Amino acid sequence: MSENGTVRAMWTDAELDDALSALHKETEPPSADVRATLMLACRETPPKPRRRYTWAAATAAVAALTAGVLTIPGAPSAAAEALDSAAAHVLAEPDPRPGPGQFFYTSTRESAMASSMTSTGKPLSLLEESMTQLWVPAIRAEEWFVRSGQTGARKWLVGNEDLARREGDGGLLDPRVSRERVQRGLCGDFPDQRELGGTPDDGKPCGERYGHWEAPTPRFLADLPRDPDALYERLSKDAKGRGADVLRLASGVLRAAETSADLRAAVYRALVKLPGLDVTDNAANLDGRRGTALGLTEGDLRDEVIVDTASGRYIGRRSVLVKPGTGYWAGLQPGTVVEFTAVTLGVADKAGTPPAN
Amino acid sequence: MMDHAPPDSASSGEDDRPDLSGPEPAAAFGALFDRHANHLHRYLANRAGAAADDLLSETFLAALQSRATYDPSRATARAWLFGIATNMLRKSARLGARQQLAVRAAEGLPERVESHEGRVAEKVDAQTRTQQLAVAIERLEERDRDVLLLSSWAQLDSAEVAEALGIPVGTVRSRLHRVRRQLRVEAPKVGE
Repeated sequence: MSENGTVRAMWTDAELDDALSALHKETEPPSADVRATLMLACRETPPKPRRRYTWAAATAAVAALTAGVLTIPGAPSAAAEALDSAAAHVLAEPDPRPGPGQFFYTSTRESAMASSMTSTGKPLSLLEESMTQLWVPAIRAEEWFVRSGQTGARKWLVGNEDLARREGDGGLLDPRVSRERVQRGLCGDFPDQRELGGTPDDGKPCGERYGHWEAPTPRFLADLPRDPDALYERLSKDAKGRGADVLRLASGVLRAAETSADLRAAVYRALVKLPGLDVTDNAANLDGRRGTALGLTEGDLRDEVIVDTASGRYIGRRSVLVKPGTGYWAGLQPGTVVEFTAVTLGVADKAGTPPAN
Repeated sequence: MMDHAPPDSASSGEDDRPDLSGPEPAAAFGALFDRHANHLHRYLANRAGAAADDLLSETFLAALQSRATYDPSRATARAWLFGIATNMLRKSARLGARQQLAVRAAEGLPERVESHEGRVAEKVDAQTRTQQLAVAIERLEERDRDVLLLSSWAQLDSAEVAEALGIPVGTVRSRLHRVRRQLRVEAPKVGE
């Protein structure tokens, strides 16, 4: 404090702390909406990621399971064959790229499991389908267009509509999650998008953004190695050696419309090196499209990518329960598909209108 | 009174390392919210005023979205949450939201009038000093301000501040030491 107009040389630590405390005022508690929004988001979030920190247990579970439950235990050579074939075909017949004024089109049809309990304590589980259509202009800095929402299609896995209505749905059928949204934004900056956690790209000009495995920009894609060994090494390093995460990161690149044929082929050939990846279904049907499923089992689930080996097209992913469900999966049989994402890529002439075929 | 490195508050420690990676996040995040929301909200309200509810909401939604990146062996949940909240504050500052400290400094702090005249004078003097400090904090570099306020207001220890900001713990300590010294020297001069 100053006395007689003279300036004190320095505060003590205690004075500084007192002043800091005085600035840190008591405030009203947060609005109840904040918690409600979070709880709703918890419901909407796909049931991932799974446990990462209980490795010993998960590995033991896999070891105990290996032989019995996999539907079609393919040999590793089958996986290599399928992936090599896909790589060769995608290089021979690359997908068209958008010309000036055209758009990269991505449609994602996703079915995710939601679970809750009736007020009488009975488990409820269903698959809910949502659809996202994205149009990205050939010049990325221009306006993007996205349409998303639930389709209303739902498949009951445990319980049924009647039971939910009669004994309470535990918030499972909240109508608020089903609204369709249409958004536009330059360079994919959609105005009411929740940018989560912040990224190093925030505020950067469109051409300088880098992205990451699951939302790659052309710069990120261009920087990835085309040599399968180097690419696998990079995948494995970024996935911290976890097989399921290697698949997740790889499929982030495979589902990106901007991914070039040479990179797509390199990803297929890199996946050949993923230990434990086997052909698990030669005729997987995802949203009406057929392909070869390549899967990896960890814990309760088998994660698969599905590829059309005859065209090299990436079709999507799915997760299949491999043992009788407990906890979140209570009441589900082994073999139940608990989640899938079917991807269609193309070139569109007009934002908001899917390609003709 | 606080020391240079504030002691752990009641909400830190070994029991604040939940496993958030389970397939059903609702229970874990409900508990996480109930434990940390008020503390985070007070911090956000003091830094960003009326935007606090939105920032708190964005912080928890971001936490939910990126829960795979939370490693309980590395950080307490509150250090992780304050780190996300800090990013949200930085982002909203970049978007032009007004920082609140200087605003509040200009408005003056709520007065609590005491009957004894000497006490009143002391209060007024303390208020002036606090306002000066608010202005000085506003003038700090963002990274210094974050270290100071995460330590003082959020009551994170140095290791937690390091986790929250993604910088080495030694850097936190030296930065905190430097910024506190700077404020002790400079704050009283502001506005003189």
